[in-house]
Amino acid sequence: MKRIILRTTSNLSFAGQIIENNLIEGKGLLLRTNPQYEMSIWCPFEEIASIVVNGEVTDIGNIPEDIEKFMYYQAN
Amino acid sequence: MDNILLINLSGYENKEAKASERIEYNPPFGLLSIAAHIELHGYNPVLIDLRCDNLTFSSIKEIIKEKKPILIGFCAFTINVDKALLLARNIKAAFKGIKILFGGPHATVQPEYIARHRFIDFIAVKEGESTFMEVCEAIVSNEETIRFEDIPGLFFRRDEKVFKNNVRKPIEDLDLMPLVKRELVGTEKFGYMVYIITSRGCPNNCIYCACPVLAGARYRTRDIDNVFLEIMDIKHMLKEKFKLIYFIDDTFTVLKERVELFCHLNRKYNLNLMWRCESRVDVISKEILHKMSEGGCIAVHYGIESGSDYVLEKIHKNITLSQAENAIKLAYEAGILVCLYLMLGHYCDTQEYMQDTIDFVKRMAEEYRADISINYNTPYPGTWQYTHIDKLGMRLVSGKYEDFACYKPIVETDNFSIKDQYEYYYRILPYLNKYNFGMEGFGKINKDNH
Repeated sequence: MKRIILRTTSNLSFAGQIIENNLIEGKGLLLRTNPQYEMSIWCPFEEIASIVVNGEVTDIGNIPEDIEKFMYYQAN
Repeated sequence: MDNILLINLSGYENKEAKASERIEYNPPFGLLSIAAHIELHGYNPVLIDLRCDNLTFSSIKEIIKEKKPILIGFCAFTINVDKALLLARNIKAAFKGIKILFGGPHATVQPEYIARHRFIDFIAVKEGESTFMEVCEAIVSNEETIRFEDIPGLFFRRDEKVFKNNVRKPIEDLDLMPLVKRELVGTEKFGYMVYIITSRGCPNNCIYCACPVLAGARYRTRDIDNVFLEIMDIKHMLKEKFKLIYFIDDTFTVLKERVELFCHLNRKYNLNLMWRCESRVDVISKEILHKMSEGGCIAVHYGIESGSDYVLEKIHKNITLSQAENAIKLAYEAGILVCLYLMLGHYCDTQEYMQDTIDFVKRMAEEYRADISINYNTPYPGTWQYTHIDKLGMRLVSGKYEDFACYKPIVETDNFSIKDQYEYYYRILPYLNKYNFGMEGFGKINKDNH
């Protein structure tokens, strides 16, 4: 699975793979930053400012549904 | 796991200053923080600190041959930027395929100075954690994940042309960042005193300081719980060797509730750690100083900068000597050693004002046993006084950045010469650094008096 970059509303970026079953009750996603470890980072939707997938930067508002659709689209 | 080489160089040429760096060795925070962030993302940071790693160019080349880094990052300060560029040039000549990135204070205040060197591939401006990590992702994915054009805070070279991306905004929530891993530089290098940073940014606009340009004007803090976690990590790493924390934030005591909480945790968990911090005389009170003393604080550092109220006003320090003396007296009465920073050679200094500084230093040393350090005012790039140097009547006697060292004067005006500054410095020399400015046991100096 490809790596994506999440830029948070706190202006810190995280990169990694969205792990399966990523959408926890529609509130966010889990990002595995290091493929060598099982550890993943919980990213609430409301804290995601933009997403970079396949070299395309998409700014996200505070609408979790939009992010959810976007992530499903990109991940599949 | 891709290796990333991170290099820090010494700032000093003289052996005495270099030796003091070893006694109080602490790794460079900027590189440590970047190392932690890229390691979180699966990269393997290899940190070389040439302040203590006495490596020849041949041995650096051997490390590069062995580690095969995909990227080499340099932390450039004004004083060592030319040395860093020379090393980078030689590395690029030997390893043409390896990308080189410059970050650090000088890369932020004068990126164009670095960008004109064709062997530099990237420059990370301002806070580098996210920029550096995104550059790694772009290199590894051959720009499939992200293109260099889309990385804020980055200057990059493509087809011999330098592109300047938009500025990256400061990190709002510092607690989102991973804790730094000091063991990356080797635990055996540490002494008993460990530096910690708990905040970034400064709202003040002192004309000699580049902090607002480097870290922004907004004061951002880490939660004390998060800071305490880092302290426990250091304790676990260094065990009994770790005795003293030095909070090197520009101003640790801005938010009193944070200071009180730290004091409470230090007592509650019985760590028996002493600590010292940087502060300002306008954000301190009798009440907080007593709590600090009870909570293990043995020294507080104030930047006073001049013994003249006229000069303080002109350099936008926004304090008065009366405020300063009161804060010094209160700390002394609370049993905390007071360490003062002052400078000679402000643009508005005269012989009379420099004598005022000397008189102030003598009085503070005699009445409050203050430990005092005096430097020569140095107009660093990124400061207001550097930008307005001609208008302020300052003349640089050296344009070499390696001379921007604070321990030798490089500025004169119609009112004072280089020689004058040396003369005033030597007049006050017996009063300077009397308690070795941070050596073990200094905290007892005042407490024994009470």
